[in-house]
Amino acid sequence: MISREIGRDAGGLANVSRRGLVGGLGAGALVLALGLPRRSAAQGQAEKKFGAAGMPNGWRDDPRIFIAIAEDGTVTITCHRQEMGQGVRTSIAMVIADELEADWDRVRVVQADGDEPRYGNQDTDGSRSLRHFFVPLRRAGAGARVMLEQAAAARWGVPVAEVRATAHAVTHGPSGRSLGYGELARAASELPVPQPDAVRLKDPGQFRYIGREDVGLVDNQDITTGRAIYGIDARIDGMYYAVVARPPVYGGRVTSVDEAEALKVPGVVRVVRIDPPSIPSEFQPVGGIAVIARNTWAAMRGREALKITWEDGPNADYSSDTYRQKLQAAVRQPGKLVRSEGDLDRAMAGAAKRVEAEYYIPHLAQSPMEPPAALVRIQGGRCEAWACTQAPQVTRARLAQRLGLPEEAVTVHVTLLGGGFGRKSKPDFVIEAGLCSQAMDGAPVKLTWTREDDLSHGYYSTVSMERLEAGLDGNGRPVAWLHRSAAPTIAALFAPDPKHEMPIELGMGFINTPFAIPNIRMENPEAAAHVRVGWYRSVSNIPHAFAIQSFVAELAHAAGRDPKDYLLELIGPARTIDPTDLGDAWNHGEDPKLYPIDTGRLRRVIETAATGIGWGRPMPRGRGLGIAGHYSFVSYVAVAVEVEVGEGGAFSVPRVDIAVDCGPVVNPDRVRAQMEGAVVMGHGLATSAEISFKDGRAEQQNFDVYELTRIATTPREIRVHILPGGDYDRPLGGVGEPGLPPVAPAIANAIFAATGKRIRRLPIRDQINA
Amino acid sequence: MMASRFIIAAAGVLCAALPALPALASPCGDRIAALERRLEEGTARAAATSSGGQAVAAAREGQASQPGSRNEPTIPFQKPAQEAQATRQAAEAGGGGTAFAEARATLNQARTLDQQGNASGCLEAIGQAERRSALQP
Repeated sequence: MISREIGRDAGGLANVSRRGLVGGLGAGALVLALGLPRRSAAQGQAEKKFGAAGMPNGWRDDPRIFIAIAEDGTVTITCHRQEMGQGVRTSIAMVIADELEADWDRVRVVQADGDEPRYGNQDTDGSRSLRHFFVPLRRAGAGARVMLEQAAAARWGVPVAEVRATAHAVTHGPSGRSLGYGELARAASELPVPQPDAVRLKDPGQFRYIGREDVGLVDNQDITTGRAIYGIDARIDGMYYAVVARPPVYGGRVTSVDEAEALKVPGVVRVVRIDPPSIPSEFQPVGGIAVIARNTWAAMRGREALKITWEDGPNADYSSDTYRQKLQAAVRQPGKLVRSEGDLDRAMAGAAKRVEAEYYIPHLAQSPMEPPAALVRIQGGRCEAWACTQAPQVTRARLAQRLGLPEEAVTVHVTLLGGGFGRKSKPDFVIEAGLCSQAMDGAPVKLTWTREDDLSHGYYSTVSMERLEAGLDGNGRPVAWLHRSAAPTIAALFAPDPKHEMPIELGMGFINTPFAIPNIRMENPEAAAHVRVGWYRSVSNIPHAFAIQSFVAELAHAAGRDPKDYLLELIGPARTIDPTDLGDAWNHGEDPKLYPIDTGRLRRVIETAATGIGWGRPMPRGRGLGIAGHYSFVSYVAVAVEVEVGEGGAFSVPRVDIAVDCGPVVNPDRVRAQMEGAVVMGHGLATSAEISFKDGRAEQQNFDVYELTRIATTPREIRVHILPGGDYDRPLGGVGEPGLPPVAPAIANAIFAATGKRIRRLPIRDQINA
Repeated sequence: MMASRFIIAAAGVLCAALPALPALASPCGDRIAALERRLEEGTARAAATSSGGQAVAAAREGQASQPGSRNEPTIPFQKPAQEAQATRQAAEAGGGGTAFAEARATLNQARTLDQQGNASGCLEAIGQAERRSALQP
């Protein structure tokens, strides 16, 4: 039993660093995970559709799935969400350990394989790991605690009400007797799991770990000592190494290949053709020629020696310069109506002043520090994969389908992810490794993407043109607001040639804009996709927030008003808005009654960021402040930025204040880290990052030209303000993504304040002097 | 003083912007009220069925957003039968495409025209909204 539960973390990898843990538990160790887990309520209640229950395979709260207690008292917590630097393995363990009353020093964390029927949904995206699993995992921890209390009461023959679990032991109050968790584990494991309504959750005032800032990352030691295993580190004896030459244009294919020179490279053992997918390609590999070798270097050299003739296919003419003009033409014409209030035409005609602007945001690549990598072997009709995937169940299903195996015959072991940002939600790279293993009669093959592969064949963030027009009354207040957003949709991965944004894209800061303006029209003109468009941290919120928050500052300037005050005025008084009233039936998958848009919370983060940076203070020449606020992933974030512009237009960011209201906070250290990371990433996309295409080919292949923010240009001081989350009965908001959208417009607005130069196109680069 | 004046004005603006204002008593107003109820009833289902993981939700919605799409997925999904069912539900509930947003927007246009006394314009708009809401259950 123990080996089934714990052994999966090792997954047979020769270099797994947690092997010591498995051995440490020893024979006779006991787990609570006996018998079949209780089916969660989510499985049997079709009517519960929001939040975690609305996700594929829902949620689980059975303690036997997530908690194992050995006879030496070691508590092993299985984390079913993927760790990519956000600290989820720590935060999930904090929740369970707290309710369990476990001693943190005796808690170990292992990683679950991809198995959603067992664990519930595992797609680690959408900023929802804790939002969706905080309550179920509290119940799991509390359920195990109750089982330990029941076991102790039975051992002593006393009423359960007289015993209490505290700090890894159960104590009988009247007699003072005490038993450790290890001593109770076996008996507890034989008890039935308490029904959820019989489980007493802790009073938040008694939390040991939840909400505390000083709980260290469970992976910190391994990460900082180089022992942590990422996908790119996976290694087993006798494995081969592979890289793939892919079509330089999406939709292209191989017409001929001469592999003779490649096979002469020492170490190269085989060249394998990967068939291209039909379009739309979903998560399938784009096809090409794989080179399999005894080491990665030989595989790369072999790839360079291939002589391939490509047919570029239908996207051969895709070039960013001309496509930007197409988008611009599209937003200058009416598009599909997606929101309307009042009489926009009449209000525009009667406005005292009209303002219009267009904003362009290019493709971006997620470019996680660890490029995609996976190791796959097929033995005895079973396939095992080790991969840095955000979506292990999706990976398992697609791998099984492509290899012609039943899903039950495929196991996906999840390694640490060296960043993800949405790129690793797509399992194309794991499928490539699987096809290479299959071509090698099941021998283990580790497939690695280089940085050039990653930037040239990505699932890019969409390119977008946003046009805004406003009519102002005599006092400078907007009475009419027109917004047209044109951007290729992620739906193009799944359907043939869709040209309009999906509800999940419209609902990312576009149609759910909570401004108090009487006449509003929002339109979505057509835009075709010519590359694989995928989700990138915070997704469509990036272009929508950049355009809207920049335009608000433009209106403030036109009205002669302070930008922060004007933004607050547009948001209007504190109130809650049902997003469905705005046409947003998606609402990040959450119940609009639990998660209405709360403009009071949005106002507070803006006011907090403004106060933090000293909004309104006199600024020396060449310095300016900018501000932006945005609601996304059911959280509220505002960013205030100070920029310093030197001679020649070079600029730096001495300081950023970022304020977040994400509701109750489980792990403040991680919230702080996510906000800091969002500022750095947002600075990069604002100032220098761009993927452009010419003749269907990405023009940026590495970090020399795809420029992310580096240490020298990182904002010098980042102050994070976490607003009090209040009662832990309140619903949690997202944390991983919502920090990003307001960063770019805040920087652009600060540059305007410092220089009078308005930024309407990202990245900023050298536009200040243009 | 300036701030308080603005708050009062903003509150007025907000009230004017509320989409749930009662429609005028008119044939068009009656149809607006009826469609409003239908959209509200369909919302919960729309929101729920489109709330899958980004991967699955995008797949479902990508298909559902195609005009008249009831085709099988190009690539098999996690559980083909289950996902096909989810896709159908998403499309039927309007959460899969943009039917809800479009219907809500056109309904609001009809309401404005009704309040302006433009009966023919209102009827035309509410007819469009009703057709767009046809994907709603």
